[in-house]
Amino acid sequence: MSTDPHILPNNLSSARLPILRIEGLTLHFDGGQTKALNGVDLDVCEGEFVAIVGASGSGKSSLLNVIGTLDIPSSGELFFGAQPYSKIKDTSLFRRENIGFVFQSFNLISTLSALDNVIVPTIGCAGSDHEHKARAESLLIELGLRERMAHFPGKLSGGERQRVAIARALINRPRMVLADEPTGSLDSDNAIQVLDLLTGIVKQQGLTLVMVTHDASVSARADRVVRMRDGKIALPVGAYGDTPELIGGAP
Amino acid sequence: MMRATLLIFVGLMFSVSKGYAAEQTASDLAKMMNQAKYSEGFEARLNVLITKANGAHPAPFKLAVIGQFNAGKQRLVIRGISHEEVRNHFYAAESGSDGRVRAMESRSQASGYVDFDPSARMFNSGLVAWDMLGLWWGWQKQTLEGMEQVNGRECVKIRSVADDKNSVVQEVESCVDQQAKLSLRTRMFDHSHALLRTTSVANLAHKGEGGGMMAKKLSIKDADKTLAEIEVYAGDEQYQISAETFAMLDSPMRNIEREAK
Amino acid sequence: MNLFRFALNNLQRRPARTSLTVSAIALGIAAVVALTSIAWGFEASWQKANDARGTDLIVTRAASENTMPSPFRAEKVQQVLAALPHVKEVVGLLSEMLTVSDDAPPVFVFGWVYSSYLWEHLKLVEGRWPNASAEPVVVIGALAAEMLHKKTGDQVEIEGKSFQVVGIFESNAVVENGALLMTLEQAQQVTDKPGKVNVLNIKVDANTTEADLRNIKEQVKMTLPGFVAITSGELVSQNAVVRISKAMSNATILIAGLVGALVVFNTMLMSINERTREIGILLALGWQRGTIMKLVISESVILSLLGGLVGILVGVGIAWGLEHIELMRGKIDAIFSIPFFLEVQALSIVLGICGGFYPAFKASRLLPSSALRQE
Ligand SMILES: Nc1ncnc2c1ncn2[C@@H]1O[C@H](COP(=O)(O)OP(=O)(O)OP(=O)(O)O)[C@@H](O)[C@H]1O
Ligand SMILES: [Mg+2]
Repeated sequence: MSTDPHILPNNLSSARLPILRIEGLTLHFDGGQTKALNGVDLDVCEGEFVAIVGASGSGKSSLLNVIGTLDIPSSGELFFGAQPYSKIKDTSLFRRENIGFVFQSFNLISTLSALDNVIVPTIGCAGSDHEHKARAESLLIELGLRERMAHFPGKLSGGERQRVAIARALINRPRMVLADEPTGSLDSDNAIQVLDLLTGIVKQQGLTLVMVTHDASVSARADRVVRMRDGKIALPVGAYGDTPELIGGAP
Repeated sequence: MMRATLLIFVGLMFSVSKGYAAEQTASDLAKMMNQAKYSEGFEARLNVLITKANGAHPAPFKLAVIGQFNAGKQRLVIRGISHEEVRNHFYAAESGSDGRVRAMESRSQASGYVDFDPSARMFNSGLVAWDMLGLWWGWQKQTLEGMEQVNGRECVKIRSVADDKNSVVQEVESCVDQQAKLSLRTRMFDHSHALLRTTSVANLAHKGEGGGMMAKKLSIKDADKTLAEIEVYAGDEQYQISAETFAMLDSPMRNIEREAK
Repeated sequence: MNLFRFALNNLQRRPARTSLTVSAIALGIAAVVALTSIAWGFEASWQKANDARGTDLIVTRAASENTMPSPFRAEKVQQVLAALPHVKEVVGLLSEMLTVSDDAPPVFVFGWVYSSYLWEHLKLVEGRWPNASAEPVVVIGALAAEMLHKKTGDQVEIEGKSFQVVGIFESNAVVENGALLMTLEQAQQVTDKPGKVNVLNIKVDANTTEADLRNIKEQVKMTLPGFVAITSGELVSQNAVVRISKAMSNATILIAGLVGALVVFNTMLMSINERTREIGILLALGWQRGTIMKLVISESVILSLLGGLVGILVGVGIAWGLEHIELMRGKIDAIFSIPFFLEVQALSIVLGICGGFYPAFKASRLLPSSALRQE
C-alpha cells in the first residue's frame, strides 16, 4: 500500500534523516510578555504521523504556524530536510511546494464551489487550468465527493467541508500536511471518517502529517504523540511508550 | 442707453492706454471716460428685448448704432434693422463742443427727417440718444463717492452734476470699472432727484484689440419699470464712416423743418 | 478557475458595492467621453472647413481672441499678399453669427468671393449657385435648411434684408452645413462692412515647400504689422472656443481620473479589510504575495474597465443627445474613434491600477498568522 517500502517503526527512525528538525524554538508575543513557545526541540521523520496534544494555550497552534512558516520564530532554528528555515527566501513558495494546511474551521471560500475551492491554491502556479482541474477532481473523487464537486460550502456537511479542505491541502502535492484540530468541529462519526481518509491518503502517498488534536481516539492512531505544556514539549515520548489512557488523562 | 453705447464705445476705444493711477481725482476719471469714448467710427449691432412693466414682451428688434466721437463733435446714427416696424426707422444725434445736442428722426425713407427730442425714448424703449452721447463726462462738477461692487466687480462711484440747469438729466451717478474703462452701472436723475433710468452691464467681453473691455450684454431699466435687455451681437471697431453716414445732420433740411415747426 | 475568474467572483460577492463603484467610474468616464469627443469634433469640424476649401494659409488680424477674427479692409493687404512668392490666389471671406429666424438659434452667415476656389469643395444638392457677385441671393447648407425650414425658392431675412434661397449645398464640415452662404459683396453690404473681410485665404502653388510656407508667414509678420499668417490648424487651435472646450475636456479627464481612482481605492480598501482572514488563508495555502497583489489589482481593473465600458456607452449617448438638441444642431459634431475608445479604456485601466495599488500592496504585506487570527 505504501509508496515508501521503508516505513519503519518510529524507534528505528533515527536511522533516517528527519524531514523536520526543530532546535530551541521560541515564539514570543507582545514584546516577550507572552511566550507561546518557550524552547521546543523536536524531530519528525519523513512519512511519520505525529499528533500534538496539550492543554488549551499550551502552544500547539503556535508550533504548527512556525512549522508552516506562517509565523517567524523569535529564536531557535528549524530545518526542512537540510534546509534551514532562516535561509528560506520565499516562504510562500516554500509553503506551496512543501506544506498543506488543514484548519479546524475549514476556511473554505463560501462563494466558490467545492471544486473551485480545491483549485484556489494552484492559482499563480505553473500548469494549465485544465491540469489543475483534473487533479482537483481526482482528489475530490478519492475523498468521496464525486457528487458534491459543484456544491457550495454552505450546502455541504461539516465532514464534507473538511474533506474539501483536505483535497485543497493536497492539491499542490505537499510533502508535509499540517492539520490544526481537523476533527474539532465534527461529530465522532464524521471525525472518524475524515481521519480515515486523511491518514489513508497521507500514508498512501508517504506524506508526513503533523496534527494538533484534543481527541484521544485521534492521537491513538498517530505514530507518535507529542504533549505540549507551557510552550514546551512535556513528554518527548515515542508512540510506543504512550498509552491512550495516559494521553486522555488530565494534564 | 447712455451706458450702453458708452460701453460699446469704450470697447471700441483705443486711446488712454495708460493705466489708471491710484490717486485719481474725480475730474481725471471723468476725463479718462470722456476720452474712452473717442472713435473715428464704430458700428455696433444690438438685439433689444423689451419687457414692459406688466410683463409683456413686444417682439425683439435689432438695430445698428454707428458713431464718430472726437473732442470737437460727437455724432450718432441709430438705424432699425428688423423687424418690419423698425426697418428704415432712423435716428441721428450730434453734440458739438458747445454742449448743445440735436437729434432728428426719420420714420421712412420717403418722409425725410424731422426734429426729435434727444432726451426722448427711441423705439419705445429705454434707449435715449442723449444717454448714448455720454456728455456728462465733460461736465464741470464731478465727485468721487467711494468704491462699490456691481455684479461682483469692483468699481468707483462718481457723481456728475449738470452745468446747464435746463438739462433734463441733472445728475448722473456712474460706477466705473477703471481697468475696463467701463461704467458698470449708470443712474440718471432729473432736477427733482427722481431716478429716470438705470443702465447695468450684465456681461463683459474682451475687445479685439487694446486690452480693454466692452459690454456684451446690458440692460436699461426705466422709471416706468420698462426693461430693455440689449445684446451686442456684432460690430466693427473700425467702421468706415462715409460721406453719407451723417449726411442728414449736415443737411439744411433739418433747419427748414425746425423753422416750419 | 483562474485568477481572473476568482477576481470576478470576489466582485460578485458584493453586487451593490460593485455596481455603485462601477457607476461612479462610469459617470466620470461618460463626462470625459462626451466632453472630449465634442471638443475634438469641434476642432476637427473647423479644421475640415478650412482644409476642404483648399486653403493653405489664413491671414487675419493679430490677437483676435473671438470666435471670428475682427474685420479689416482687404484691399491693401490682399495686394501685398498676392505679391509674395508661391502665392497663387488670395481670397477674402467675411463671416458673422446672426439670427435669421425668431425660432432658430443664430447661424453662421458666410460671404465668399464670387466664383473663387472656396466654392469648389461644396456639393450642390438642390437649385443653383449665385449667378453674379451682386445678386442678392443665398445658398444654404443642408443642415441650416432643415433647422430654418427653408427650401429653394423661399426667402430669408438677414439683417433686415430679404434674400432668396436659390440652392442648398452639402459640405463635409458641419460648420458649413449649418451656414448660410452668399457672395462676399452681398455679405459686406448686409453687414455694412464695405471692402472688409475677417480672413484672407491664401492658396499656394503646387511646388511650395514647408519652408516656403514658413517664409510667407515670416514675410507677413514683417511687412504687414498687426496681421498674422497661420495655417488653418493653427487658427483652429487658437480659437478661444476650441481652446476652452479642450481645456474643459482636459480638466474633466483629470477630475474624473482622480475621482475614479479614489473610488476604486476606497472600494478596494474596504474590500481587503473585510477579507483579511481570507487573504491569510490564501497565503497559508501557498499564494505568493505577488499573486495577492495581482488579485486585488485585477479586481480594481475589472471595476474600472467595467466603469469605462459603461461610461463610454453613456458618454456616446450624452454626446449624441447633445448633438440632436435643437439648440446645438449643427454646432457640434462629436468625433468618436476606436483609438479614442482605446485611450479611454487605457485611462480607466490606469485609474484602476492607481486606485488599487495601495490596497493591493497592503493586502500582500499581511502577516499570514495574524491575518488568519482575524474573525
Ligand atoms: N498573536 C498572538 N499574540 C499574543 N499572544 C498570542 C498570539 N498567538 C498566540 N498567543 C498566545 O500564545 C499562547 C499559545 O497559543 P496557541 O494558540 O498556540 O495555543 P493552543 O495550544 O493552540 O491552544 P488551543 O488548544 O486553545 O488552540 C496562548 O497563551 C495565546 O494566548
Ligand atoms: Mg490552537
